[in-house]
Amino acid sequence: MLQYTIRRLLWMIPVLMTVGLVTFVVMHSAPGGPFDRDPSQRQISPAAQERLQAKFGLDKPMWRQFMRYMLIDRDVDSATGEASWVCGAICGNLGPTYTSRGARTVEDTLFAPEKSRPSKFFFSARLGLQGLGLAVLVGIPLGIIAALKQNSLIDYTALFISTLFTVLPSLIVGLLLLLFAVRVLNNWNAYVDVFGKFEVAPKSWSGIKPWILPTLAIGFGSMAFITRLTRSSVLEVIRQDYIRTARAKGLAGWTVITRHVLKNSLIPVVTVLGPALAGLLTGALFIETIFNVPGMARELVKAVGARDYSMIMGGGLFFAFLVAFANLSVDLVYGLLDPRIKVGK
Amino acid sequence: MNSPRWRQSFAYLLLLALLLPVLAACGGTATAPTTESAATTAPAPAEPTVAEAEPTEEAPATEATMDTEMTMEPEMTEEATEEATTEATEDTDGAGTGGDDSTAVSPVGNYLRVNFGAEPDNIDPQKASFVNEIGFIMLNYLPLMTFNTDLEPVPGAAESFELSEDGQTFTFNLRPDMTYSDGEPLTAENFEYAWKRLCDPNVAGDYTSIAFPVVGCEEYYTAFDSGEVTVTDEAELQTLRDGVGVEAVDENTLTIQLKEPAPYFLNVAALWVGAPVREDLVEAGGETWWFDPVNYIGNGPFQLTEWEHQSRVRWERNESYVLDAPTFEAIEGVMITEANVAFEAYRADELDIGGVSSEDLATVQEDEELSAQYEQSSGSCTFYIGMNNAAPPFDNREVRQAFAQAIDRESLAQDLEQGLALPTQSFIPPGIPGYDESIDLWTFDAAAAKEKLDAAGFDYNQEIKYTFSSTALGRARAEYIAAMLQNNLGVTITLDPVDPTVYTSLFKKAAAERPQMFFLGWCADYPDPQNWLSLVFQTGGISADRLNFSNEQFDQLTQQADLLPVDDPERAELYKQAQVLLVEEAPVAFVYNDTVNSLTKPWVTGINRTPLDYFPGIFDLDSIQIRTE
Repeated sequence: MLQYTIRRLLWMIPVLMTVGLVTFVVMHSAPGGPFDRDPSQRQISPAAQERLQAKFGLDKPMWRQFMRYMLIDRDVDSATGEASWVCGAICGNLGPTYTSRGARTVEDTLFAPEKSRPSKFFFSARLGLQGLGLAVLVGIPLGIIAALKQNSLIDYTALFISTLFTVLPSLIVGLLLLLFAVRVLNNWNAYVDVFGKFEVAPKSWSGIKPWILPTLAIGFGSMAFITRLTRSSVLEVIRQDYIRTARAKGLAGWTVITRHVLKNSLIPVVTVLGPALAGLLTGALFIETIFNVPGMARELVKAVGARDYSMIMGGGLFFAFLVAFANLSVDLVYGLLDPRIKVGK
Repeated sequence: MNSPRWRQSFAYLLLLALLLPVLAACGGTATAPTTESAATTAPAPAEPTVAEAEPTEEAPATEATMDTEMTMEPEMTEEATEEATTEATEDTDGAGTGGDDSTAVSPVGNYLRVNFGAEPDNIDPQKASFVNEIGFIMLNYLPLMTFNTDLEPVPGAAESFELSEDGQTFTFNLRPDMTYSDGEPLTAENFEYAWKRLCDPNVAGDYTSIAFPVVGCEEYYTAFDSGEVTVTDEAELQTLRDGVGVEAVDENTLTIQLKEPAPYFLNVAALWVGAPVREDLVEAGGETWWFDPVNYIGNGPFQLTEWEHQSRVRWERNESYVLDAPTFEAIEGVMITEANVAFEAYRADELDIGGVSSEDLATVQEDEELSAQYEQSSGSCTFYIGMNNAAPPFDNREVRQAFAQAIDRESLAQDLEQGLALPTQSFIPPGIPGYDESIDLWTFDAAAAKEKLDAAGFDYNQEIKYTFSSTALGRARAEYIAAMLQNNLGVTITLDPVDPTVYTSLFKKAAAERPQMFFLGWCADYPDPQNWLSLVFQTGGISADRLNFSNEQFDQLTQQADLLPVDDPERAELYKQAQVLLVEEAPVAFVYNDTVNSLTKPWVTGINRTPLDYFPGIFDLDSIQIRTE
């Protein structure tokens, strides 16, 4: 098991390198560069542009820029003539952000806590975990109920809701939720005041209220997915012979469900939690922008527009790492849940 | 099968019922049911904006022209206590806050809530160049000079100034006993430090080239380019730094020496690049000294006090500000980047000032309350259709003139830019000194234009290539303009989409190979005719170079004017002649100016906007009133 884990962790390195390479190629083939200015305005003077290019190593050949970012490069300071080794992403150096003219590094921007509040990573992590929590805590029970009451009203409703949210992108769900809260719920406050006023751009992050809408918006998609999966999985399991046997030997209905049905039907659900996390991350790109969450994904969206190469690479690599890590965790848990699978054998 | 039919029917009904609001949303986009509370109709206006949100967001930085310029208008936002927001909610219920607005009262208090849009990434005055960055700097700092609402340079931190006989030395007399917002004295030495820092090659500011008229600045800034000086040559760098012609003669006197007479430099002295940053704080904070408001101590109308990055900022009024102090106490800003969301925040009374994007414009105009709060003012950019003056057919003046006359600018501004642009026939935009509203040489007249083209002996068999950067916006514009010219003149225009990266580099080719026809613009650095006419269209100027335009008479007029003091009437006259000549020569066809489209709540009054506003009404903050009771 330990050996397996280590092997899987080592496998992440080529995976991340590939992700890095693809990101790098796509990013550099997109038009524009970090020092371009609106052609209708004063441009950065050519001398300054060259200096900035040299400062960030953008004057080097592409392959070397890539190696420098990901692994290591020998850098000769053009001013002093001194050579030194520069270690890249593999050492945790995600590079300076170009938008700040090199003043702040990617890791500072994403992971450094601010005076009065946690880092951007924590904002995103909280949002993601809440979304996942919603997906699991609502999606699984809903799927089970739908399966147990197959073809009932409740089943159709659950199916409808899950189809709806599978089809609607989180961007649209987010905007509709925002409008619903601001234009409808806020007008109902006079009669039924449950949450108080929803703000379009909440300014405080300590309470629960500012998190409700983004959590719903980001969680609905995964919830829908998990509901459908749970339903079909439970439906399959309850038709198995061993369930019939359990019933035949006189076990109470509830015991059959908790002991036999659930245990077996949740295995595929656990498997998709990894991919579900990826879904949450991509959803976060829009949700954080719509709900003004000062998170990582928003930085990444901004970086793409500004051609902030190091932020795109760094953010992309970190997201890839998260997904790889989640998949590994799921695989390990999988082995524990399903006795037929022996992890590492 | 144990599925009775009625259940299926019910499921379909449910599906239909739930889809209805979505369908309604797709259909009823034009109306904005502010006063309706029915759950099914309320979300309606959201749907169409969603569809367009993405492309706008993704627009590459290089094609930032009309799009970004317009959405960049600082929007607003605010924070409030629980009670205050509850009040606001009641306000917006029912008929909302519009109608008779003479009694409308701010729901939160005597401060302004705005949206700053994208968070600035670096607000170091000597490095910044983006609009959102400049807004932060100019609220926080007061340079030597500032502008009045006619955008003429007027004394700021300097009480008065003198220009030497030869026009090459400015002496600024600072206001006595000035302090920073923390009480530290502000003297001429602070300004000397700031200006020398601007020219520092290690700082490598984006906008330093604007200070190149200062003696020694360019030499210092480009010190490393020759390869002879390196970072470690401290003595050499110090010599270059000392060579920069900015000197604190005494505590309250600063002289700036220029390489050649340049009276327009007064305008540059009013820009953010010369904001008096403090050496002790810059040194203490290192590269990111500006990141924490603790180090970002300024002398401007407001002092940045809180900055929760990517969420909100707060400015408190600076009580030691030397000019007329604003009447409102603070500015609360948020950073909402999505235009639709900012619009919702404005409608929900979370912002006092909001922007209007093209997709929201129809909603605003059809809503009685919102249209009363809507204001369109001119921006600081002029866009033109460029023609390569070095190659046929546009080396012929008559041909260029015919093209200039064949463009229906009204329809471009209304139909193509959806009313977010103002048609123009001349270069300097309204609101900027040098604007000449009498220029109407090329009023649209298809017949006259065609006649002129015939008279010029134009060969109709040739194809004219219109080069544009292949973004959605660029293509729409290209197709519109090409169709217009084909209809009006009978010429053949072929479209030549190029990659946006390539677009800029196309102009670096040899004169005759540069794009034949293209679309570009110019936005003010500083509001002076010199920044428009001389810098852009003198031989070798920014646009003149792209167009291969060179006109001896124009050069003479502008060079002569450049040397005259800014308040000399002869200067204005010379620039006026130059602009008339420029329009007549028609090296390009000027088509429209950008606009700033804003919404202001009825309790905020007295915002005097200028095209250069880095923040709404920034050059006349003290006239802004917020009604609180």
